[in-house]
Amino acid sequence: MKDDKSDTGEMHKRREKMADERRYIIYYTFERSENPGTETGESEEPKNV
Amino acid sequence: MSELRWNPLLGEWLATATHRQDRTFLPPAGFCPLCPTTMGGFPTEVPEETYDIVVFENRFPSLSPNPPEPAIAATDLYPIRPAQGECEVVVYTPNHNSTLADEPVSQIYKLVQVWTDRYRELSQLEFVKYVFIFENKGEAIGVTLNHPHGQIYAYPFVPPRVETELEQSRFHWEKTGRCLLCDVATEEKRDGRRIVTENDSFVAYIPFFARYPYETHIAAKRHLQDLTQLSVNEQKDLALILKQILVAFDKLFNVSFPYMMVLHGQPSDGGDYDFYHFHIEFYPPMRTATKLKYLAGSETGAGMFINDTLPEEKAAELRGHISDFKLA
Repeated sequence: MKDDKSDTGEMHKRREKMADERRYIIYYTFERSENPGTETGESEEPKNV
Repeated sequence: MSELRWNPLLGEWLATATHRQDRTFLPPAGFCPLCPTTMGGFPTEVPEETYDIVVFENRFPSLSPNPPEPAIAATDLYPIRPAQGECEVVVYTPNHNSTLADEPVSQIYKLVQVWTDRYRELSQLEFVKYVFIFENKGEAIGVTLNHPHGQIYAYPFVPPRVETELEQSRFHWEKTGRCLLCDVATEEKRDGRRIVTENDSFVAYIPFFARYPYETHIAAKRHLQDLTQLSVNEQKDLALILKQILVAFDKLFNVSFPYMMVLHGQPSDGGDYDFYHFHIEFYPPMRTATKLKYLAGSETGAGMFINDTLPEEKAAELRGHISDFKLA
């Protein structure tokens, strides 16, 4: 299911029953997932402002 | 046993949830129920690794969609009702050793989008009157699982602290024709001493009336009532200012700073709340590197907080740790 479009990529959600068959779990994924800390412009050591 | 009991002295509901006594408490490394299940490992709450953020119903909820009937009978003085509602867990990342402060702005932006989706979906449930998004972080707050996560409670009533804010906001609106939180943000900006940081869409400050030394509020600059009204740019700006505040918190004492973070938006009970204003509040318990702010007799028994510090000084301290971040 597509829910939103942004520059993190489109948000997708997948809803399933959990192992106990009682509760639900929702997996949220975004089309263009980056590795943490690798996005352009975010420095490893940010400067103080 | 789970039920809502009426407190006639305070005029508010409380939940009993005796099953929560058995919930998992600070499990050893390798047995975190919020980590993805690994090949050959014990089955966690999250069977898959392929997600950015995962949300599931709490195994030990204080509110549930189909609650049991109350175990004892109500009286005129002591009304009782089923503890109907929803309690969700929001796992911020598969990485057990991260924190929200450690996550890149892009991940926090994803979280803002997930919060918005959860707010929108839970608000539509007939029995839900208020969707409350929050995070308890750190053992000083009493967390039982260290994996980075937050929670959402969908209440069958508007909770009392929010109700007080609504009443004060409505009173101010009727008296002045203006939004109370807009006026607070304007006053904070006019004074300037308690401002921590700001961007195009949000301003962060330790308010004049802070109860905790580092109590920080983040208010939307545009007058709006809940997450669903944020534009894409405002969602990004919220992620950026959250990152700035969270990183500054951690730098204060070079520790992973404990806090309660709460989102205050409008109720979902069908009422008209144009006078209300979406904002986020942080209540960190640390008052120095080695001392905690306890809620003692005056705070708990009388409801009057005593802040051992001045917001003007603490805001300057926090402002000194603000860094610049960008979202691609």
